[in-house]
Amino acid sequence: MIQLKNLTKRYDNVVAVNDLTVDIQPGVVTGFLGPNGSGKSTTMRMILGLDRPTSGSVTIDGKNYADLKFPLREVGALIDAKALHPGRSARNHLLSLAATNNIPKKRVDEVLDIVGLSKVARKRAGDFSLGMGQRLGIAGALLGDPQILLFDEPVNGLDPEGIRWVREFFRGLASEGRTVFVSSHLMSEMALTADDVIVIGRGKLIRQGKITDLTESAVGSVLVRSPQADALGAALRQAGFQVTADNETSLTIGGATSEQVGDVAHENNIALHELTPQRASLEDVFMELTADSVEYSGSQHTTEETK
Amino acid sequence: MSSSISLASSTKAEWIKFRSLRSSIYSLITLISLTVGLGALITFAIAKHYADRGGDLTYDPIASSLAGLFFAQFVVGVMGAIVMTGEYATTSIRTSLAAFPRRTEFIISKVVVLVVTLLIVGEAMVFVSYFIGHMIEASYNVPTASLSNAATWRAVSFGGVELVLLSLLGFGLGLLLRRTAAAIAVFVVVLLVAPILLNILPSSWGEPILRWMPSNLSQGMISLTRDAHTFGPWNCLIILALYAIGLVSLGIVFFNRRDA
Ligand SMILES: Nc1ncnc2c1ncn2[C@@H]1O[C@H](COP(=O)(O)OP(=O)(O)O)[C@@H](O)[C@H]1O
Ligand SMILES: [Mg+2]
Repeated sequence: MIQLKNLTKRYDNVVAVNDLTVDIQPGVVTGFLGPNGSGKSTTMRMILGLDRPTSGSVTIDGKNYADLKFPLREVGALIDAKALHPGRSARNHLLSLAATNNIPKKRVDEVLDIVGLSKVARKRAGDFSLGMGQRLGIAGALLGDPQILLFDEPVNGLDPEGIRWVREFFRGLASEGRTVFVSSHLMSEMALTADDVIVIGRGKLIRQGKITDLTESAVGSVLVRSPQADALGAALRQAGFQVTADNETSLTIGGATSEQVGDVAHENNIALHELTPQRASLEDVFMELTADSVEYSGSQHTTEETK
Repeated sequence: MSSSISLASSTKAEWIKFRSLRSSIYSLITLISLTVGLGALITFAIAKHYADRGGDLTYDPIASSLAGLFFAQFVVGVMGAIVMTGEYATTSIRTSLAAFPRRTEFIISKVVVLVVTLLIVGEAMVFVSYFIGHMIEASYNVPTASLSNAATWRAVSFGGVELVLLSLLGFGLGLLLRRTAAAIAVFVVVLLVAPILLNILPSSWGEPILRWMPSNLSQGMISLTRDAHTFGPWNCLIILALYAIGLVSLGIVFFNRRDA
């Protein structure tokens, strides 16, 4: 289990991670969510002992990362697919990593096979496409056959086929009982991959729990159509709901359930032609949760940004 | 098989990293051709000139055979620096340290690979340079130096050591400054520019400092002749080695403290 205790990282004038206390449970995929700049990568680097916490601590099964006997056999990480020398072949890159942790050579060929890079193993890693680079990074994470895997924005820049491959791959790893910790700034991505989620904004913990709880807790809206839309709108406003008129016959009622809207209509003898609950999407929930903490507002979430 | 990661496992990895880069091979080829090639060319030119003048000049047989070492100094300085700055430029330092988080041992393993490689290549190439120079000198009937002479043996064999120590200065600068351009700039300033500036100063100021400069120390290691202001060859070696060890140690202290 990875434990973060009051983990804080301050760079010159930014608090990148702010008093984060969470346990990352084994055997499930945990999504690590937050808008760009919310401190996900910084947290990952502190878990791996690359950045030193300003205060607080990170432990892996109770130990500091630097004290692990064979780090790659306990924790596999992909923090940046480009964090390798472009001039080295994929195979030599993995061979050097394997050597650090006394991992046998044949494991290198195994992981190359798992990620489907056997044919290009002797090509310069610098000539790889983004997707191939990402696969090579995953191969590196798998080298020591570790129980704990960390992936920082693994689908960034991948094509839909690559994204599907990664998603299924992570689910497979978790189903083997491993701890999989994956960060993303896209909620939709996590919805399909993660069991648990940790949501952060501006370095602070916003929410932690099962992904299903997150959607259920979201207050949705209700779409209602009625020949007496005006009267219904007035009655609902009086009952304290937010009413938006879509057109002459249809309204959207925010912060209400369909039962509440139906009851108000019944009390006022108003006929309804349609009553549809609008389930908040995960993306909406995420936006709502992190609205106060988005660092760069603007056009984010319209496209998949590459950082 | 050991029960944890170790200096040995990291050294093996660093060796794989070194030999699997084409740039390492090119650097070594550049190093060898500069040292041996320029040594031969310069010996040829000076020996011919000396022979034409009928021997009325002083001739230092070792200085011309090993003249290529002057240029080799910069090649090994860059090679040393790039071992570290290359990791930062590509950000592969993060992948490396995630695999091997014991930072002091990580640095030592890089030092081992650099030192062993350059010591073997350096020694081989200075002796080749010496023999080629000797052949040229003999053919022009100019003075030669014999390896059976202890001073000659020392001057030639220190050539490889000199390069190792200078590569460690480059390595230390790379470790501290983390950027290739910055490390190379400082290396060139210290080795080339500073001595020139010191030479411009009145000699009563410049000379006491000059003898402590890496350029003079490295030259002192491989010279047969020695002027009054230069330390003896063994002292030159020891002082330069202390610089190298000091700089790399300082680098290790910072490396352990800083974020990767
Ligand atoms: N090495 C660094 N030096 C200074 N500031 C940094 C550094 N790394 C990250 N930051 C800052 O810390 C904040 C969190 O960044 P990061 O952890 O990369 O967020 P995320 O991965 O969630 O996008 C940002 O404001 C970023 O600019
Ligand atoms: Mg990030």
